[in-house]
Amino acid sequence: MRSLHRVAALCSQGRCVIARRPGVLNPAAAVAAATSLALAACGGQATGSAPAAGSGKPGGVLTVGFSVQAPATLDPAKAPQNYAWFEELAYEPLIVQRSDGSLAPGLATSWSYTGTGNKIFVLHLRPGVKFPDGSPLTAQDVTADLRYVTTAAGQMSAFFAGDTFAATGPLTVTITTAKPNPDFPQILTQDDVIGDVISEKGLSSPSLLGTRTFGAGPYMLDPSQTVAGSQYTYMPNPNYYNKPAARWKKVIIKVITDPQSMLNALKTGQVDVANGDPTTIAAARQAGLTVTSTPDLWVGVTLADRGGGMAKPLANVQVRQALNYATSRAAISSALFPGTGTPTSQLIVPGGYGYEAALTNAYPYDIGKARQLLAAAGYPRGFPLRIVTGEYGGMNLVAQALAQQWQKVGVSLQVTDYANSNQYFAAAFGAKFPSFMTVFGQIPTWVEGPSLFLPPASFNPFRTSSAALAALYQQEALSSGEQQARLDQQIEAYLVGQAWFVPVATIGLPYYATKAVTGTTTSARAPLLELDEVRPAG
Amino acid sequence: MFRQVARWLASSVILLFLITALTFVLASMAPGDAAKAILSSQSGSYTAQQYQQTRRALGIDQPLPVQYWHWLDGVLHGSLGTDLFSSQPVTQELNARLGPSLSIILATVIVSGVVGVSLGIVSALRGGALGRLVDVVSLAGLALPNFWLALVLVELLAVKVQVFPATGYVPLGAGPGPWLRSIALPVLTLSAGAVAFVAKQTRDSVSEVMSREFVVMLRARGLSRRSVVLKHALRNAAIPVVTVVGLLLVSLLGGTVLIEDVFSIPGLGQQAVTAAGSHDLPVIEGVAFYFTVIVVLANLLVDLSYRLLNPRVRGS
Amino acid sequence: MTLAASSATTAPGQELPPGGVPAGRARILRELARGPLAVASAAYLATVVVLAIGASGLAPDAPATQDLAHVLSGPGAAHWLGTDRLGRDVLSRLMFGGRVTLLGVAEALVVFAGLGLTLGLVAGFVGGWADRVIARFGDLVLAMPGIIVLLMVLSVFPGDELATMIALALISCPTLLRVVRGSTLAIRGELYITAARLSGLTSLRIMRRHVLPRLVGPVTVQLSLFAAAAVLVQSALSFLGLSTPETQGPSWGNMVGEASDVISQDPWLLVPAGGTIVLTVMALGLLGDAVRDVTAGRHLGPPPRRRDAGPARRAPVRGPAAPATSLLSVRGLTIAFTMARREVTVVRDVSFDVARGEALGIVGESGCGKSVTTRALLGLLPGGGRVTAGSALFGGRDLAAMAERDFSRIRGNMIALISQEPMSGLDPSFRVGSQLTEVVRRHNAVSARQARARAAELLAMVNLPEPGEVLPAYPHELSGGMAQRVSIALALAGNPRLLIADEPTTSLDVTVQAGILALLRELRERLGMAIILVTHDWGVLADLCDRAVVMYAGEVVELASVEDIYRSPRHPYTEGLLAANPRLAPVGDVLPAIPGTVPPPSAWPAGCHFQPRCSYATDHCGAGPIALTAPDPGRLTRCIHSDKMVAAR
Repeated sequence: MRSLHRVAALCSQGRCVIARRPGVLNPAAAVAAATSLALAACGGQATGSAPAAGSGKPGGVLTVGFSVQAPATLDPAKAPQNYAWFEELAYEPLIVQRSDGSLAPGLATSWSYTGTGNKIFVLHLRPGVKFPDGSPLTAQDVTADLRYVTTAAGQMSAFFAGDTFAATGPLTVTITTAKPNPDFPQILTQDDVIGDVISEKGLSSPSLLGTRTFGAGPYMLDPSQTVAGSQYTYMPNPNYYNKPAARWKKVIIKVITDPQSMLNALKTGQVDVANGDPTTIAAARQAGLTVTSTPDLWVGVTLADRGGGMAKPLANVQVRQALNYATSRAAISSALFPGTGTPTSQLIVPGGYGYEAALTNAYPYDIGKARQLLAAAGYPRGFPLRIVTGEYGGMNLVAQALAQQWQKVGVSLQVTDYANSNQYFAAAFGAKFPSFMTVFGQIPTWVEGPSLFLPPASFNPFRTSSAALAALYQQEALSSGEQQARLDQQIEAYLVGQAWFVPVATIGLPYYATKAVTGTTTSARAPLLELDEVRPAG
Repeated sequence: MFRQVARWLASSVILLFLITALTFVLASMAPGDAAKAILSSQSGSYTAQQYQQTRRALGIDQPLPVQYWHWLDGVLHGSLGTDLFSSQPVTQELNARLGPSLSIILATVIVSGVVGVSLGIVSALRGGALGRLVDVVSLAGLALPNFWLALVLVELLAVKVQVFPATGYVPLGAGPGPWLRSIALPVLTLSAGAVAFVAKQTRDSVSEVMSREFVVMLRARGLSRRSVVLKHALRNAAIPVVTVVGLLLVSLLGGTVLIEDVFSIPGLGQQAVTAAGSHDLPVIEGVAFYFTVIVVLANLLVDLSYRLLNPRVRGS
Repeated sequence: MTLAASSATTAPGQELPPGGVPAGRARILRELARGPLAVASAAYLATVVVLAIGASGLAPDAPATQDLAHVLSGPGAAHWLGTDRLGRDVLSRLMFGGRVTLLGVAEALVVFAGLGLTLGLVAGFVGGWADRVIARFGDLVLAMPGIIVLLMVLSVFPGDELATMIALALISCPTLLRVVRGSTLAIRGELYITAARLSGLTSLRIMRRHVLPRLVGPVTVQLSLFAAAAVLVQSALSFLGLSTPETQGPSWGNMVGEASDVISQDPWLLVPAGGTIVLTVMALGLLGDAVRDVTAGRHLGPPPRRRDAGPARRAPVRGPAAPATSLLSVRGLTIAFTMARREVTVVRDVSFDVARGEALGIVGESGCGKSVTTRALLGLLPGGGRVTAGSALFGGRDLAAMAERDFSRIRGNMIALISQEPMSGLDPSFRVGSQLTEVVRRHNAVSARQARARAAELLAMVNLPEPGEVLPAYPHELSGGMAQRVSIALALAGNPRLLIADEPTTSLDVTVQAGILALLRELRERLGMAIILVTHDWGVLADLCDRAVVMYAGEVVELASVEDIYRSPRHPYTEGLLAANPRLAPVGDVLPAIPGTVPPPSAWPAGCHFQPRCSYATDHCGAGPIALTAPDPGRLTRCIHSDKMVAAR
């Protein structure tokens, strides 16, 4: 079923999932450049297609299929993560995220924390960079841009709250954060969008940022060949500092919301690379398309009312653990997410931040154990539990499956289903239900805190606090490297042990590509497809 | 003549007013508003203060009648407001989407008109089993789910045999050939059901006319069957058929929503659905406005053709 | 001066007159039961309803029972229609889902019917300002782009199918309103309603007893169409994700939505729910069609083409041989109609001759078959009629056995026809001039200008002296007399040798009548054209005709010169008619009408059709069909007692 409310993005201050259709998962999509339909070039605003011409050849046209609703604004300070593709073609970030998870220089050639406590972050900018209007990149530009992001009330701007930005040299920027932030570099990549630097010209007329681009990236949006809401055309930026990396003479992003249509567009060569859909994976493979997928989200239940104010049983950790034991994850995963789902008892995927192999099966399916724990907690006959669900990411299907499974231990789930994602968010984040179905992304643990498990987090509507968790988190903020990795694991282990959630499966969102292009791989720490790595095959 | 034009203008204006007002009321009754939608799409949670600020910025903190008055005022000055999400003028956005929707709607009307009338005539004349067959087949075309038919057509004509594009719309400016090819499949899908209406009504009307006395007299005077049917009978049967075609055009306004979704056509239908979901009031009003104008124009055309076809109306 | 009034039968093949046999429910059902498609549709719908209502008992599984190990399986032994995404049995869900869908449709129908009927009846019956207001309201609602309203309603009541259905009913009820209003207006104006009013029935009673039964047909059609639309809209909205969420239970809508999601993985899943919707929509539509066909009394389809010279069973031709000067010789012409799947003979053994330039009258009551006979001569029998025996020789060719394509050489060219209703004989949408030139050019190879000139000539010929005024006029702008003259002009355009005038003056004023008759006489003299004049008026007969044929109950009963018929009728029926003529009856006496009534074709006596009413009748009369005999040269009669009549005089 198609949700009307595709615009509604599940935006934690982490990865965003756009509400599109139940059963379909969409991460922030990275736009790839693909060969396109040359006909579109003849003047006018063509959104049309013809059999692919010049597919995949160097200097050809890349057409990318984007399966979610078109962005409401192209302003990088406001656009949610889902629209990273639209931004990264035209805006160069300070730090580049590579598809293997590593970071590379962007507009900043080097960066580091100075001092201890992860509070002072220094960036050294690349010399000789010019924006399309000819103006040079300076430290002033970057600080002005970062200040703009802070005030723009966008998805990630909360991360900059209270930070100060100073141009401590013509090409040096020093950021002093209000609180320790160990993951600053990650935030400044193209995947989180806010690292995309806007030129001074753009900053001086912010109303234009919604429909035109003012970045130093490899391409620029061509409004004359763009039809808002359906086709976005990018032409090469003559002033780009790394011309060879701009492989295509034109990049087009087409918005195609129906998964079948997207598949057909790929099959007929109208599109070269696109974000796919779990329901069409098998068909895509059969059609000979390259299918890339990395687990990126987990779907399951947030047992929010850990204080027991609304649902008394949830206050007891044994009850929450019992629910975890009563869940047959393998059955749900293979039935609902064939080919892309992996059952898991933890919130992190292999290779992700804080992953620990042992935790994946922390709660094997064991009805007996579940009943035992419930009895010990004083609920031998179970109890009713109210839960709210949206209709994307398959969460409503998982809810129904859980309802049947938990019935066996006497827990009767009373499911309220909101097709309208805004309504779902309001109900879930507004502490109207003691539990809610959840789809959440893979993000650095420190970034996860303010969205998932700290008292002010939106996914923690009952404001549960834990001294142990808070302590771990504070340590993490000040740590780095190995130590940070270990603390990540400890935090995640705590969450699993305390059964604050009932994760069911991790799911990957597929990308499809025709054989005409390559460079469409993804990894656990960079699950979004990076468009700049897509190149013609052969 | 002048009085009639004035009357038509007056009733059209009243219609526009009523429909946009009704839309305003309905849209405002829906839970949630644009401010919430914008804020939640930008960040997971927001403060009450941010919410109020956004509402003020968007102008939706005003009482309903005031908002409507502002909108009306804008209309009188030629503006339909701005999209709350993209800050673009509504007229600009909708005009860009008018072309695709109108192309498909008009082409469907023409195709289903021609095919439907022909089918209707044939089944009216041959009668019996053929008439029933036309009934059943055209009902089937009506009953089949649009989206399924669309997918089947795409599979057959765009994927297996790449005659037509699987998705997308090519504007007329890029050449009549590519334009026609890009709307062929959507039009085919929509026509499957539309033909049914037209064929049925044509058959009924033609049957009824053929049983009238003057048809017998025409034949008695030795006129050829072709002339009797195609010239005289059709002319007399035309009015109900024209009415149905007019109704068809109006119903296609809604029918394109599904089609635009499946074929990724950037049309008005798609815009209507999106705007409705995100409480983008100016766009919703704008779409209602455009739709109503189209309806009014369609009715005008139908009325004018009544005059042309029915000499009695012409005289009065 | 007319013959006795109409019989109860109507001419075969025509529609029932208004106020005739009302379309009672029982009759509708009986007629419906004859059509296989209607029966199949009704049976299907009944099955669906039964399965839905009885779902709790009949369904194999509970609709929510999942089997995660067997999701999206196709049809099989365990699950006849397969399973869905959560391994739930599709058949069970289809049955339970039917409840939601059908309930929604039912509720929508109630609103639709209630509003449409009430408003339509009020508007049609009360009229005046109520009518104006309601009609305006209806127009306004119809002009609203429905999709906008539906979308808005859905944002106010998300996922609520009932709200959507009711909204759909509201925006669609003007179609029903219009139909009801139109029918009510028409019925209200009919005489029998006025009569009912005058006799004291209250409006409500009138409505209930007279208006509502007549509305059954059109209203049922609209209801079935709307129900079909409601089901379709559900399916469409579900595709957009706007239907009842699955967590509230299955509905056909959300099953289709689910199927469209997984169409790539399991194309079969669309078939159960989608197929059910398609079949239901079709059943509703076909049922509506069938009801409409039955209540309109129409046979489906047009007059079937005359098949090429089917070897009809021809009885041996009887009667005197055709005189050499005969233009037209009809022998033993028998015509039958197919009514309600039975073939009924309506004209039997008709024989007469028409000489060149002669005027022959065919006289008889309404329904005696005189018009049918003339139509048969031109191959213009209405649907279901055919010549079953006899011949009609014209110029060496047998019109009774002629193929349709051969008639083109006869119609208009050799034989022309003018009919009773001058106005309805002309195409209302074309100007007189255009119709004239068309016929002229059909029969003569001339240019447009020549044709126009000829048209003006023809008008002059029929004594319409101002061609400039008449040619550009439309039929509705002409008076009755002018229209009839134009019809005559059209008939003359092909220079016919025989003109069949079917009651040409019946619907005209007496004064106009005289003019037309005079015209016909003049044309006959001038052009040497033969005329067959069909009439029930003795005065007209005497005015124009030399000889006459009297017809009764489908048979020729007497044929003689007009003088002979007047002076010495040789058939009891003719005698009775003349006696009942008010002009000829002695003043002050009771008018001697013929006792009894004319038998309809389905109830013809085996022997003489007039026997039951005849004062000369004996048992011999009923023994078998009576043949035409010639009591005197040049006369024919179908009575075995014709000598007695002479003797009685």
